[in-house]
Amino acid sequence: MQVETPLTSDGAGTLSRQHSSRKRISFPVVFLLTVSLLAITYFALVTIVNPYGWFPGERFPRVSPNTRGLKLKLLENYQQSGPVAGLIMGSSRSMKLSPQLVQQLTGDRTFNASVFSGGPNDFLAMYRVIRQQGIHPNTLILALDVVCLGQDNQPTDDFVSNLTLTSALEGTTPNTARKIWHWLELYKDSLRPYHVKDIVLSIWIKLRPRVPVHKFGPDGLLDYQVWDQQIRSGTYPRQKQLEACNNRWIDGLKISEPVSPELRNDLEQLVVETKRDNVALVLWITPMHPDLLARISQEPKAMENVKQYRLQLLEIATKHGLAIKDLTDIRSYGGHSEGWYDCVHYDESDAARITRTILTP
Amino acid sequence: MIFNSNIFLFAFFPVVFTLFWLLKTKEPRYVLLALAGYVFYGYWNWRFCGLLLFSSLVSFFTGIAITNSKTAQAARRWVILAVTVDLTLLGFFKYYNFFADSIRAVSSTSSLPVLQVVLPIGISFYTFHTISYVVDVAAGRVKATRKFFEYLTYVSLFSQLVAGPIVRFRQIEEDLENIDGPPREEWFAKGIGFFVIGLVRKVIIADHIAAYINPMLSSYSSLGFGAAWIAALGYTFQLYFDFSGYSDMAVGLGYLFGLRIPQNFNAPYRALGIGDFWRRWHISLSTWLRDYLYIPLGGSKKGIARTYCNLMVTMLLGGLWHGASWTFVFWGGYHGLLLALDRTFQPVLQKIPRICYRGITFLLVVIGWVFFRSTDFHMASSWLRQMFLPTSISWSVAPGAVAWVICSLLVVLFVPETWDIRFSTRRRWAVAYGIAFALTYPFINGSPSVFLYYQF
Repeated sequence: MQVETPLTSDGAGTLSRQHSSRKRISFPVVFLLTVSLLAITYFALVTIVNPYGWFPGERFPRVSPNTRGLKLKLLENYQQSGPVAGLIMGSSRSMKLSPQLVQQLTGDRTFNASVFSGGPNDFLAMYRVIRQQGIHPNTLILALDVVCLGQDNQPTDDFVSNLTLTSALEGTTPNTARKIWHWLELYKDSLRPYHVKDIVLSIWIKLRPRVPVHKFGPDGLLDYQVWDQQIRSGTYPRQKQLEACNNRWIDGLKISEPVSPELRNDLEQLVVETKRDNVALVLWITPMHPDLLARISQEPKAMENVKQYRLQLLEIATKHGLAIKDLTDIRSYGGHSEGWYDCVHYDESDAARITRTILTP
Repeated sequence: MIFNSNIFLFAFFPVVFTLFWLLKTKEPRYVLLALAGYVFYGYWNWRFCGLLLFSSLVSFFTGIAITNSKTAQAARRWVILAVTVDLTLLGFFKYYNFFADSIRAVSSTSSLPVLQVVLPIGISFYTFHTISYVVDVAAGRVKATRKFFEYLTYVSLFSQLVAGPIVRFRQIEEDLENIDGPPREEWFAKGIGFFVIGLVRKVIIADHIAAYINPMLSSYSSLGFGAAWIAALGYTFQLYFDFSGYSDMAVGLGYLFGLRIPQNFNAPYRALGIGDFWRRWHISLSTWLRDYLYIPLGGSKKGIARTYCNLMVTMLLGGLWHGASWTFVFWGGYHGLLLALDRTFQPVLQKIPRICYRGITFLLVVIGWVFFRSTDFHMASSWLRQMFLPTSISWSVAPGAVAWVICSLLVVLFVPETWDIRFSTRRRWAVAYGIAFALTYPFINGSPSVFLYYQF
């Protein structure tokens, strides 16, 4: 069956010999030129709009803060206004720990270097970069999510896109060829649907500015400015957030992968290096909302996974002669569940209680 | 290596394509394409290149031996030898454990051990290539080639090596003989057009449906009525767009190297009757089974009972060809039965309004795919129970999955098959394909999905 379609408008057979000869190899060339032109245009756009902060562009807002790059930059500035002697590292679940409160309790001028989805690879790499910057902390408060060693807890795009961090983790100094290759990989990686979508979103936000959800102070402390505003006005959908967060975590914990040897190795290496540098390492396991804990207790598979992850963390601490404070249950630090943003992110008052608990011998 | 991977699109293909058109004569082009086939194949597991070469050598020299045979009996012996070698390799690598398991299931005294056998990718396809060559030489349908690299090019041509289409030597012989021809604008246009359309079918349609269907089927026991139907329809379209997309890409690649690969799909879901379906679905396989199995068994020339028996044997083996599992055998038998019924009741079926006949055919095909997709009979029965005998009617299903199924149905019904398009050489179409490629690429960047038929 041969049907008429728009593509039949000019069959090859209708071309004159002269015309055919002139266009002899033009089709693949035009195809390649089109693809190349579109690629170049896109790369220019992604460089300028830069929704994740991978590229030099600064004119458009970040759709999601690249906390790894941002925190390193903030720390560099913070160090210029006075020596940093205390560090907080962890995931978003330790971003509300106040550096000022830590300073009150320890006397060390502290910076909160927690990053989104932070895991042992981030902690080790950031610690090395910070040391390279000439910062010698007395104390490192390390917040460990109970799942941080899970095999599915792979390096984030923020981490992979940061050559400083990936090189620090490998223990190498990138040469020019490596830098060029890294940039090429970044451009290649930017060709993904979500990146395209976030370019559009970034342009949209630029045209119709709005207050970003996350704001970081000069000492790295997180301010959930939008959510706090909603809480004050009574419009924050806490129950909905809690429910969605619970479901997400339960689903994730039910299929969690075994412990990653690489991540475990990164954590142990960090312990070794902080010991070598005479840094006091304060290890603690981040809390979960009581509702989530109750849900986990009803799911044998999730329960077993949490137990296994926890045992691994305790084993590492024991192996290296360190104490670790398990604050999974909020009763361990006298916490209150009413002010949480969702099932794993607590408010300032609980952050203060946690800080006092972990820094009390 | 898969067509939708970065290594293929930006390294393997550009290098082979450029070198191919820089070379001007036949022999270097044969050598290049043959080597490219082995690199393509070896990228997955180089150890099995030896098996591919062995199979090619056996059939190549058998072809010459048949030509040199002085008697028909001697030629026949050579055919039997080559086919036995090919089927032994296929049987061992693909079916040994299946039969060992099956025998152990019915006989506890069986001492057949289960071996750690890795299934060489594409073995089902290249075995059929080599068998068809040997049989065709013996039947005088094709003259045995004495050009070793021409033959290697035929067997290991990367565009159809791993998942077909199953090309007969005689279908491609003329183009192989004229492989030293100059580049043709219209073939480039066809090649790029077929490839990009295939890529869109695979990446945009099949993979997006799969993203909904696979999680649903991983917990098939909890499927509700609506979800069971959407999963069945979704898989029906996923398989079609995945495999026909792959076939289009294979055809497109063939054109880019001056080789015309035959049509593999012709709007199968618009078929009127199961017989018609098999004339439209995986055409290269169904015609292969017809020519090398059904007709040699006697076809329809030996009475009604024998015809049905031949149909059933052909379809059962066709089912088994797809995979070493009883669900595939059942699927083949199911289609064998439908073919027999279709044949028997043809006078009655012809009186049914075409739209109803088409709908019934489609429904029967969908039911067949449930067995094809199921990992075992428990899954198939649970899935079918939810479709036809649900304990309660639940319509809970992701709206995205419903949307994709509806869109796919519209495409299947109203968009022309790739083969129905007369590709233009106008530059604006090169621009259109360039845009389509660029828009599709982000969906495969970094995480290309494997074609469904690679497992066969």
